[in-house]
Amino acid sequence: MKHAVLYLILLTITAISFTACRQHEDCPAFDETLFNDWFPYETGVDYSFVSSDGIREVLVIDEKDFTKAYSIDHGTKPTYTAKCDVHGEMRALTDKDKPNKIGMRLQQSQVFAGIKSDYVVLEFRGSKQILLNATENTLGGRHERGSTQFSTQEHHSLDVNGMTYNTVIQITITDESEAARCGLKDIYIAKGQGILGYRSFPGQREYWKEQ
Amino acid sequence: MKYTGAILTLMITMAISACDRTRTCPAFDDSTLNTWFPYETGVTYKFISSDGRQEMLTIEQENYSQEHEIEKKRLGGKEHWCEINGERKTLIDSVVQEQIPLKLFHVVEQDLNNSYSMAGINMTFRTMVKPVILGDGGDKLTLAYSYNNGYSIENFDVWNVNNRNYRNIADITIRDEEANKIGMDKIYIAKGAGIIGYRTYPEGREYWQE
Repeated sequence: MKHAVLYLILLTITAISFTACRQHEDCPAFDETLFNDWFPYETGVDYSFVSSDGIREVLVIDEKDFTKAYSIDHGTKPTYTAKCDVHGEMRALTDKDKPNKIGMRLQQSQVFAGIKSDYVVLEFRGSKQILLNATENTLGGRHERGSTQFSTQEHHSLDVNGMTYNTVIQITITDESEAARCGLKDIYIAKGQGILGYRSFPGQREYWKEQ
Repeated sequence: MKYTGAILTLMITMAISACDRTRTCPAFDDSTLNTWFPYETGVTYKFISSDGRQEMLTIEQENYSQEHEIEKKRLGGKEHWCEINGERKTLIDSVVQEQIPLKLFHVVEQDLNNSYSMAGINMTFRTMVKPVILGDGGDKLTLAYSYNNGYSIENFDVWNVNNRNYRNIADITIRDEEANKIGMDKIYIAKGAGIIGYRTYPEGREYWQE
């Protein structure tokens, strides 16, 4: 009986020490603030862009993937090979049967390989990846790791089709061969609007979001 | 003293030999082939046209390079690359009645430090005489342009065709002169499905995978 009690105590201590040694890491959920402020897109809704000569193109967000809060179990002998990865992504898919449907991929990385990250990646209408600053949930200009093939400038306000938009970021594809490849010269992003408009290349046709 | 020259030569030879090392090249990884061309050996894949014509292909041979050793650079010698190949093909190399040929030859070349590699899937399909070289760009198939005169490629995320939904579609267009030579101007490839269809030229008859 005495041995059985001792055995039980020993077993309990062992179990507790094993449990205590297990190391967990909590990864936060994707924070949607920046997306809500800058790209308030709803899935499945048509956002139309019309050129001055009446050509219409449509942006539809088909898929959204936002990281949910999760926990990494590093076990009792942590190697820390698994790291937090927190990001959100919206995708507008190209469809072979819908040539006027715009393809877009918008991703915000908040934690990558366990380290806080601060950029938004935009691929729009066949463009290469455009890296923009996303510090403190504020969308800014070209990220320091962004390609030199594009530049950005911020307009305090911009008048388009009789309406005034505040805080507009203009992305310009400065490399002419890249602009010709993707057929795009400028992209305008307005706070609260998402993509406000874009200018094709070499035709310089302007498309603006239909309100 | 009279042996000094011979000893010196022997030592230099030994030093050079000591510099020779071998490097292990990995076995062929078939994940890219499986992703874009998930064909099983011995299975027949049928293609049907809207007017009821039928063509089919059967992969009957697969060859994959195994792990092997190559010699690293010798002093003054040529630096070697690892060549890692995988092949899936039909046994015929021209159209025989309703049977159509397909050859997929995936070549991967890696330098000795694994710091640089080149890869391409050489595809010869149906009436094609020379292969088109395809690159795996994740969700897209790309063309190695310098080797693919007469071919262009466009990628789409989704396509509903022949009552099926496909993801990641490569729409390959073969230009007039080449199309005229091989009697085909379109090949459609979808990730996870392989060749889903093609179009004959100039008739414009479309065949879709059954």
